[in-house]
Amino acid sequence: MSPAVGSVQTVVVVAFLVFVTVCVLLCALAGPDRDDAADFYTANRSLGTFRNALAISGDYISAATVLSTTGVIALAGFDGMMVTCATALALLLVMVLLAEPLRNAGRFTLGDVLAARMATRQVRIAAGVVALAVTMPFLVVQLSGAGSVVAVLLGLSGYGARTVCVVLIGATMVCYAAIGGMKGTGLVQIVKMVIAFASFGALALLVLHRFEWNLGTLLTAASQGSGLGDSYLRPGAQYGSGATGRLEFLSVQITLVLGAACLPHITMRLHSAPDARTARTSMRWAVGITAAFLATVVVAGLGASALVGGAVIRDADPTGRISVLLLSHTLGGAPGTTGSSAVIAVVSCAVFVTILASVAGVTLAAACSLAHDLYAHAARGGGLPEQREVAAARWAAVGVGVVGIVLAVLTERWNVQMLLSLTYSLSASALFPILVYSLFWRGFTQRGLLWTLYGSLASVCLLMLFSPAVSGGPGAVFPGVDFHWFPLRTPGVVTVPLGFLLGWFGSVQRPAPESDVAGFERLELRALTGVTDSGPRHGQ
Amino acid sequence: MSTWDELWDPTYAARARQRRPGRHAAPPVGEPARRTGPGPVTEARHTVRREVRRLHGQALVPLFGGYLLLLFLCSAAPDLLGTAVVGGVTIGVVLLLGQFLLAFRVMRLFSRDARTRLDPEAARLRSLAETAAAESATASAEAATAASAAASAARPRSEVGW
Repeated sequence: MSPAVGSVQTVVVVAFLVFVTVCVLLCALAGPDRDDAADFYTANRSLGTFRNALAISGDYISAATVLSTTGVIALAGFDGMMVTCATALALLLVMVLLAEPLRNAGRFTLGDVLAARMATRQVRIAAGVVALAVTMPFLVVQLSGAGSVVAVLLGLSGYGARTVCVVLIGATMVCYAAIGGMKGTGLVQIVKMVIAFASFGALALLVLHRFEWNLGTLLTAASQGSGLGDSYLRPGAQYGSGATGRLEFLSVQITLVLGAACLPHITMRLHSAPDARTARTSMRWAVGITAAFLATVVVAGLGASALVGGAVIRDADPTGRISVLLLSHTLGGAPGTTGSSAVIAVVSCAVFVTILASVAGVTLAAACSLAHDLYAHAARGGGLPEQREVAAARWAAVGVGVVGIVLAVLTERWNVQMLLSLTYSLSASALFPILVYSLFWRGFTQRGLLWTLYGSLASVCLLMLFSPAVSGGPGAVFPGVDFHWFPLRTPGVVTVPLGFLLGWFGSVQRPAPESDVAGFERLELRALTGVTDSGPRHGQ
Repeated sequence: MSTWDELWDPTYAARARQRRPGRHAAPPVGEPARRTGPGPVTEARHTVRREVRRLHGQALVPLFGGYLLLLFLCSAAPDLLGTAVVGGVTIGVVLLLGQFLLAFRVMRLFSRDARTRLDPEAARLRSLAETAAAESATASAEAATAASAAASAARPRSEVGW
């Protein structure tokens, strides 16, 4: 960033402090006032339809989504637009397939949904382990991205400044998650969504205004600015048009659609709707809000390519993550003017708020599965008093946050973008198959479930370890060495079918035990109607 | 729908027959329904399940049909998608916008049909199931002991593999 924006940085810092203070107040005021597990995990299902929708879309639109998607659109045009298409479609998939049954069948976490069918300790442990395996890399990548972007925002450079940023952001957000629980983070998400929507909307309007409200002109200018010419608006700009490139593109798309649909911090939000119909209506609003927001992201990305230029963006950051910040520097007019400073400050605030909120949401989801699935149910057999479970959840949030911060600081010098694809691949290959099977297939057994969960965990980790994302390339975690043999950076095209296959084979290989079949009847009735049967109230 | 289960699991039909002998048999004519026949709760459940499947099909087929077509074109005909139509707008961009409009339309239809067709059936099933649960709650003490005895008796048999 140019040093001429010192006054802007003051504005940005003040805005950060105001936001942090407001959020702490919100959390303290709205947080669970007594040690009630339902209050902590689901906000007592008290958020209204529209606020819940804002919270869902706020959780869904993570910092990585905003920054990387804008960057991909700025650098690769049509491929980036396909990413927004997949992102929107994933939320629709949640709405159609998962929202109602998950709301009806689950109490707090994904583990509750699975335990409604197979209430054994192995299932709880597996659910908790996979939920953590999905959320922890996501947390690390958000924190790590947060560190670098905030350092850029504040005009700092060097790893020391980044470390300080990561630690401060992480600590603040852990406090939110631990104090505020579901309602507190929900309010943070709502505030974030309003701010982000307003500033990205303004940014998009400014870009469109520059191009006389003509999409065609904008697209032409973006193609020229990208330096790619016609291939900017042709598929294949991101991964190349060879066979591997096409397969990679396909793999990323599949992983995104199926993986984003069942990330634990999204599905957890569904439990906070008061009933299935509200969950559906909330999802409808959430899809609308998300789609509108993604439209502004597309315009911002195209604007960045047209006004900043692909070469400049790639120079600043090869993944294009700070393209939206670069765009804000060119949009407001000449540097140093009020208009310019205002645009920069507003966009910086939006980015900062988005980063903070996504860290809080993911921390809470990880803490909930740790405290509820692994501790309260798997370790303590489900008989824990609510007060102690909430205390455990608060401490789990602190623990998860500290581990996340430490990992983000340790991996500071590495390119951790691959963790994003690890999260989505795990979610798509482990969580999506077991959710679909558990909810809709009578013959699914505990054996199949464990095969899918652990098999997908192993296959995704193995293939990613030997992929070009880890070794043997300029964008890899270890660019200096080369031990890759798997050609794709995102293994979803192999691991998703494998996950389904493992679950099917593990289930049909032996006849289903009576308890699993009875579990299906129980889960289905609960998923369809929301009644809890006369058995033990919530699994286990 | 048992065809769906059979599609995934060849042994399902055999096991289902073994498990619930009354399920596929017609209830005897002229007699009040026995405990083995499909009760009102089961029938209501089948209705709700059918509605849910219909809603899923109606929403997911056009949605993923359009999306998969777009994905297919991306890898099969990238040049076609890159062809300009009007100004800088390409066929790919037009199709993407179309996909978004399709998504909104599907969403509207889904919400409407879920409200008018699924919700009443689900409410009916809920009240039936709650009534049934309340009725069986009185007899649950004896039933629980009997069920656990039956379950422990059934377990060794069901774990015999092929």
